[in-house]
Amino acid sequence: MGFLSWLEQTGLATFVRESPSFYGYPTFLFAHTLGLAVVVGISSVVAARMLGVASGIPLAPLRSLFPLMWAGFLINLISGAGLWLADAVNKTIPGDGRQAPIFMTKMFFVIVGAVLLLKIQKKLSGPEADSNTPSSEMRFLSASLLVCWVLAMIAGRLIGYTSAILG
Amino acid sequence: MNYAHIHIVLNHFPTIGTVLGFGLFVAARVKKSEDLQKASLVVLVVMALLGIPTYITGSAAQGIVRNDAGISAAAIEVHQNAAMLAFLFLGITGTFAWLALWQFRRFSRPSSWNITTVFLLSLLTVGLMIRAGTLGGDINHPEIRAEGQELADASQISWRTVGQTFIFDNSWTWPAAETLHFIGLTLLFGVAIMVNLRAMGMVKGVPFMSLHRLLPMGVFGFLLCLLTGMMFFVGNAERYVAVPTFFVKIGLIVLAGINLIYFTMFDQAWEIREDQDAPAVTKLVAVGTLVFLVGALYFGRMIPFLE
Repeated sequence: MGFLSWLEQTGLATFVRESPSFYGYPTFLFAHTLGLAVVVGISSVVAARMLGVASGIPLAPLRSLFPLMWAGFLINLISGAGLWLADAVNKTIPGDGRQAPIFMTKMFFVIVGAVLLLKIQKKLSGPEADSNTPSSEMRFLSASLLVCWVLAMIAGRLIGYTSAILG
Repeated sequence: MNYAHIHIVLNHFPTIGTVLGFGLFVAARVKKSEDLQKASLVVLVVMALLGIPTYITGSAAQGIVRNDAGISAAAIEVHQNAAMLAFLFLGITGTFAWLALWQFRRFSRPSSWNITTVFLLSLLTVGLMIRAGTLGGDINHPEIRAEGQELADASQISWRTVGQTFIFDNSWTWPAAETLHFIGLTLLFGVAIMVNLRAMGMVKGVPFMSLHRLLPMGVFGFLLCLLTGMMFFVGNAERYVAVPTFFVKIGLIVLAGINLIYFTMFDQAWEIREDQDAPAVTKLVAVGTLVFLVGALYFGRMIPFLE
């Protein structure tokens, strides 16, 4: 707790939380939404393709989309770190009506989602892409990814409603 | 010029435009002209897009004139109810008209069930739009009211109030709508990024034709955003109309929608084959679409900070 409290008092955390500047909290939030649109947006379309939507799309060229997806993920890692820093105790230590339980639920699904995305990328870089018919393992990974992203978005949105949910 | 003025200018487009779109649609059936039919569908889609700023400036106009002498609050309420219903059906008509355009491109003709659907919906929408327009005219034009015509019945239930009660009296509606708004924007952006980046020259191994298949998914995402966005707006119209950049967001959405029509039907996009470069115009439209969408995202995200 002491370390987290100290983190909250660092210059960056104070800037994100308290600066009246547009480049503080509003810009971090915007970046977080943009990163979401990029990484979750593109990867969801790719996952839908694996599950049979627009099956005319060849798989091999999709490989070049992954650097862009990871760029979106990186934007969210950085902007998310800033937002977390500004409110570290509340989002990390459970109890006293703090947001930690819901925030950590979101983190769980984000991490599982990122691992699944990495596995999809690995599989796609192999011979999987040659046939244009995704294997059942690829379909399973894709369906799981979509579930993870939806749950992460629900949990993420509900962080702000902690008091209504946890009382 | 204020929002009341813009509303008075804008409202003519979806009203007259829907009549025009319906007329063209019928003429196309009679003349068996494909081009005419496509034109009528484009008109209906554009009118549905213009319906969004028309509805929103209408809410802003209401705040401006509501307390003026000689303005009947009941007349406003009746117009608002009629406008809400007309806007709803205009949106549904525009959606099916867009689907018909998409089918035209993909299957060379729209399915017959959809032709019937667009016909019936646009006929109904024409009636609803004229009604909404007439009731709107009554608000500030005593000279056009029929002699002895009673002004609107004040006892009519306001649908806006019904909507607000639903949104605010349930603790789950607002967060649920927000979550769906995010899920919708994710779908919309996922499809838009792929389609537009392909046009700009990324993932060249993918023929445009195969990405065209994704467009309904992106439109579904947009409709989720529109529906939940209208919930926020109806629930809290005064808050939103007070934010000047909110209107910028709405304008950008309309522009992105017009670009969607380009990617839905134009040969220049459809004919981009595997490993082929898109024409310069197509690239330009693609850059525009992404700028409009990211702009809409930015100005949307900024709403709470600009109040």
